[in-house]
Amino acid sequence: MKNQRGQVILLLIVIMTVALAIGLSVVQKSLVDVSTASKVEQSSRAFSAAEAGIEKALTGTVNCTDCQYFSDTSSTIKQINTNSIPCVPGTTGCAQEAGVRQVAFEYPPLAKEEVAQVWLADPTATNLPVCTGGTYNICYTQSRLDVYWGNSSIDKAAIELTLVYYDGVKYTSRKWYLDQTTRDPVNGFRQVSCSSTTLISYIYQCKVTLGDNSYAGGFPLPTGLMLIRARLLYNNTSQPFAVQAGVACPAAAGSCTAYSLPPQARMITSTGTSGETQRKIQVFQEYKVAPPYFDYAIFSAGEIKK
Amino acid sequence: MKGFSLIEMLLVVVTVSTIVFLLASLPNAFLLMTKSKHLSLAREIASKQIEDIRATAFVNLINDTTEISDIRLNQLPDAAGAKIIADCEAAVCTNEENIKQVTVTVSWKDNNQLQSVSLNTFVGEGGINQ
Repeated sequence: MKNQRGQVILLLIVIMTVALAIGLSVVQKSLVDVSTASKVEQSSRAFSAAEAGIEKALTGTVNCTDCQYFSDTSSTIKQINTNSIPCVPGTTGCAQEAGVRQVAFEYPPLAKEEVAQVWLADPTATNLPVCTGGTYNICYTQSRLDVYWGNSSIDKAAIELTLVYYDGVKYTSRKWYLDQTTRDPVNGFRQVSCSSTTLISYIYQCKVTLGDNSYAGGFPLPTGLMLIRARLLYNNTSQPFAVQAGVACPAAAGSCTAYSLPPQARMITSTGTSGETQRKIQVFQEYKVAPPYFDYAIFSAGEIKK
Repeated sequence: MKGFSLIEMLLVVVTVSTIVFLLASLPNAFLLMTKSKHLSLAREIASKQIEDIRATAFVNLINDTTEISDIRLNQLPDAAGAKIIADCEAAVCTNEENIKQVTVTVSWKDNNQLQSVSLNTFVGEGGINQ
């Protein structure tokens, strides 16, 4: 018998391998596509449910778990939490007891020239600028106030602070322009040296204490404090801003309202679920904030005399 | 003696199996890819409707069931879409809050089987984007 040599088997094996590889990859891609599309659809449902939770909470205080709001069970609102911030130590619902310094009121990161406003008197009070007369003093009356800003040693932010206070006769504002570096062209801002400070939510590049006269030129803090507004300047990235009471509330104090920033914002967190997918949305809602252009406009009830 | 060797038989079996596998799975695979593409498109159409409703002033949200108008529905076979706006149920909005319950549904047919995507949410007066 003649020895026969050929290459058919080899070619057949190669062709089959290639065809199998192509076929398997197509099948795998189709399975991944379907799985991804299904997960994305669940994610959209969960996100819509989370938004629904935020909408519900914006109309009133809501705290619920497994909130049964939809008859269609393809998506549910797993949890809604509403917290008034900052809370006054020693008050109902506040985790802090009297005798400690109130935690800082930390604003969500601010873009360049975006304005943050922090109330130093109760914004819901009807008899401001009078702070007393009720059961407790409704204004922050201490002589020190800590201000924090920035989170980058490279993208250095300057800050414009506007303090509004009642001097006994009228509302008055006082401004500070602070910078952590020299600029070109020179801006004339007061130079402050900065060192990093960590609070609950963010790490801050700079801190100044208003009322601390050990700084060159001092930061005199008047009485009758109403609110403080801040605007970040020169920053290219959004950076955080915070204000904190400068002293601790004595344990023996009947109320800590005079030693604390009043509750003035709500942090609403809503979690929506669909299948195994969860989406969470957090909203920061502040009460009674004057728009940014108010800092540049003059409003007068009567004639303005030059 | 004429006949087939064992190696030849094995190779034929493997070859035929491969061809059968490819013929059986590839059409299904392409169908699945088309289905996932339609699912993604339907989800995007529904999400866009929700965003448009949020951008509408609350006073202009009328309780009604209306058809969705989106040019991308033409890319889905036998597609239809509806948005239902209704007052929040009394059992849910116990304080008579100004909230509308919104349901957007996009349906279409894949391989003669009815498919749908449905998104539920709330839109409140003074809420998101209001």
